Amino acid sequence: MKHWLEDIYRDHRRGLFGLALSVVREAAAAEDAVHEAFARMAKQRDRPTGDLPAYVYKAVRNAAIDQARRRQARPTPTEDIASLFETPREDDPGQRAETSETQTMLMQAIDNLPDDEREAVVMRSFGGLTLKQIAEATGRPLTTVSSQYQRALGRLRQQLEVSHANA
Amino acid sequence: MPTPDDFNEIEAMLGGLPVREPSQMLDARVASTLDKQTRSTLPWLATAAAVLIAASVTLVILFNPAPPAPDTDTPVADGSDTQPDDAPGNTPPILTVGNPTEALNLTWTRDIAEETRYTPTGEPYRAVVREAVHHRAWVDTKTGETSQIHVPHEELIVVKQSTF
Repeated sequence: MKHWLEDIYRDHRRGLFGLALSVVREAAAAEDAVHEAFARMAKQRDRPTGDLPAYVYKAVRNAAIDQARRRQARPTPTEDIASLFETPREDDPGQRAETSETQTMLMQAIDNLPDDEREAVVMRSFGGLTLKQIAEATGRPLTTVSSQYQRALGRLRQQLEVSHANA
Repeated sequence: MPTPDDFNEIEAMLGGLPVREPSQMLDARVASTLDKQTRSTLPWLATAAAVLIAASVTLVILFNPAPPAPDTDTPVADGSDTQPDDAPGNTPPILTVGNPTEALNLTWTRDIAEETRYTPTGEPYRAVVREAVHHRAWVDTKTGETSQIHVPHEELIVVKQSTF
């Protein structure tokens, strides 16, 4: 017999981890948050009703916020903030070639977005959630989430134009 | 002012970014947590199924029309176990059944091997779900009627990968 959370984890593990990482900005703490959320949900006897991915993203987000609060006493130095993206290895030319200059600029721009906009981008683009599901997961009105997402895309585009102009 | 096409272009680029993957350790931790929870639920379900089946069998036995008892002042038997009913007029009102502690007969079994999983320390293992059905039948020595139950059973067996 399979637990209902197994399929959700398999389909959304990258998006869930990305969301947690986006909140706590440290890989080990992000993994702790994802695990903590799944442990809490697994203990519930009844399967929740409604949108299951939105429910799970909400649980992971809450666990990540708890982690971030616990870590506030020992703030992470800026240079240790974990990126949401794989860094191409210096000794792997193939991997380096696959990551174009534009992609590198875009990754940096996403890492530098305001928290709420970065969350919306992560859930939409890497988790595949709809704006309605993001609104449910974050507890924000749909119109707010929609504005945040549009604003984030606008910022990313602007950042790319500036980077290209400077290049 | 950015156009919808500009946004589509950015969204397409976002889809191609090398997003960071969670470690295999996290996969193992989550799998282990969910497995543990599923295992703790399975015995409860099996017990519930067995109790339901046993209850329905009891109802069938109780509502089975018993042969008419002859007029007699002899006290009825307590029906605690099967017993010869040679004595005239000594008719138990309830069908007697065998010793409930007797083992059930295993009549069907099937093993389903699940995918490889990992312990929190990263060691691979296979989870095998064994489904089985046990059977038990009783014969009413007086009426010749047979009552029987089938009890489904499911257990999870964890096998170290290296033993395959």
